[in-house]
Amino acid sequence: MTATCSNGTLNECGGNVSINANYSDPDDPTTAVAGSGLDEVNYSESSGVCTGSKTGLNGTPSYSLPDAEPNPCVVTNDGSGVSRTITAYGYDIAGNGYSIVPITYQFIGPWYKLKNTSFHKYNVLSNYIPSTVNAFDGTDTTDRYLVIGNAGVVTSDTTIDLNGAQATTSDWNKENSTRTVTFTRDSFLSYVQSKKNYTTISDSGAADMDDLNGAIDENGIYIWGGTNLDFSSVPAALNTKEVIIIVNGTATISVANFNPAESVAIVAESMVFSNATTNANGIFYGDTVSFGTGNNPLKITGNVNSAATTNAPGRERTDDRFMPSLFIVFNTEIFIDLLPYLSNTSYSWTQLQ
Amino acid sequence: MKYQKGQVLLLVIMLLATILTVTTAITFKSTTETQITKLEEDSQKALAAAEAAIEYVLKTGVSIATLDGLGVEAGITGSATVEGTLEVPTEFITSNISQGNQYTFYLSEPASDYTSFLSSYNGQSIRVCFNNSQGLELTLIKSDNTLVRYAINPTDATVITNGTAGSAAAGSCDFTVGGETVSFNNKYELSGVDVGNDNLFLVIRSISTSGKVGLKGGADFPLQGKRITARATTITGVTKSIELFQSYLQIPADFFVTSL
Repeated sequence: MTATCSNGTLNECGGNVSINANYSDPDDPTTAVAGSGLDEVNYSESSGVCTGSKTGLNGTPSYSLPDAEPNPCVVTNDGSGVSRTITAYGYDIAGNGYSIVPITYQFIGPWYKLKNTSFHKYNVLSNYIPSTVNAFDGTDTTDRYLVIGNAGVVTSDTTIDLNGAQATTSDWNKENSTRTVTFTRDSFLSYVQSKKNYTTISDSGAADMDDLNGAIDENGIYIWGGTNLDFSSVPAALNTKEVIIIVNGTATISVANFNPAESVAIVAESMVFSNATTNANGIFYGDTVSFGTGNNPLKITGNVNSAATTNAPGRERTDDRFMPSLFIVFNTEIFIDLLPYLSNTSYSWTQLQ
Repeated sequence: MKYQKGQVLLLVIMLLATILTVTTAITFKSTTETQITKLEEDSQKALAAAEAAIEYVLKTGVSIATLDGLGVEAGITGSATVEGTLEVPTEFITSNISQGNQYTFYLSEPASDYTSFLSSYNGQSIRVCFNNSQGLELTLIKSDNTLVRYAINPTDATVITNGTAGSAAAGSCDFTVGGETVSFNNKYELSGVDVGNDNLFLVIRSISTSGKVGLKGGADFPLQGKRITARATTITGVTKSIELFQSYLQIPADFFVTSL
């Protein structure tokens, strides 16, 4: 009885696990001897995908099981990230029992990575970074850190578990560190309405992107007059204007490649990336954020912020589980471009006399 | 009989003296309270007038405003002025930075619309002063959009695992604010080489506890915002002087720190 992983090791399997249910009588593997040879063999795998048993073997010296099912039996990688066990036992015709040392294996679950940023995880920071890391693309590295590049401090409301990986190259981190949220979508909207210039875009009932293109004619802050806004394409206006768009309800990026030529920030009550989206450039803020599900990897260049705990990475790539399913690359330039809009002011009074 | 009449006279005189004393005391107290009330009233009027002048400057963008024509009470004189420098040009104290949030300290002077920056603080040191229990993340943002980061711990605690320890300020982090001294316990020195050239901002984020951060430079810092001082004097001579500091635009941590 043996088990192998098609990509990686059994402890960190990025592929599928094959169970080779081949048995030999441990007393005499080659000769059928009275009182010896296999009588019964069994195995089970804890997920229940592969199991098998056979009795009445009448002393055969070796046997491959299951015989009515594939051998090897293949357990398809489900990205569960949990440890599973294969056990096997049997008896020879003399009644001697035997068992193999249980074989454990673990599929790599989906994980995420960041670059050039500071990071805070609400609730628990649990992100299984495999022992071997493959780069997401040319902007990534094979460094086994949660945040690569010019990384800041990584904090978590509670604990940090990266499967033994460092948070950053300097491993700056702090557990049990809560963040005081200053701006929600509501409070930022209120601030904008009282302190900054803005334009309201009417939802005419036509295609949302047409409404945006018709209204955005200069750099600035725009408030979507409808409730939800679906970016089913990249509005042409975002290729010529630097804007912030505030959405009362859900802002959805449903286009596969959201890559406006100019800097853009979207502030919404709920920020959603559809399963079809694989690339998004901008600053994306939501009181809640969803990265979707499905198997497409997602790269965000700019930043992502949520006011509440988020299921990251949400989606699960299956092409190469040693690559992150979600890669967030901080882009300073967007913040500089949008500074007149994505900002606030502090005041302090002092009585001198 | 004569003896008894003398006693009565004495008692009457003592009683009259007592009544006179009490009356005098009540009169004095009443007069004083009236004077104090008037003083407080004038103080509040002067304060309100000074605030009105500052509000006017903020609203109109003028650099100097007198109280004439601002609708304050007749007889109150004074003005508000936009100052051209920090109170101490090589020193600055941030507003209170709450846990997880940040302050954007400018190392280049922004244009009025923030579409460009005049590089001004180059190759000079910055002493970062902070209090006990406060761990800081410092981010230098360069004009080419690159970043340089530091994680600093106070001397009394390891707030940030694997962060760099600051050192005791030992008097080198005393600041003058409104004629009074404000002190910090800890310091971290960014050398002139660390700071380098072509800087836009130094973003200071508080990883733990709330608190202000003081900065001392090897040369004059950019303005950091608008500093407006106002002074108002009532007809009775009561004077109040206040200062408002309106920062340059700040980048909120809510958008700057990736949070999920």
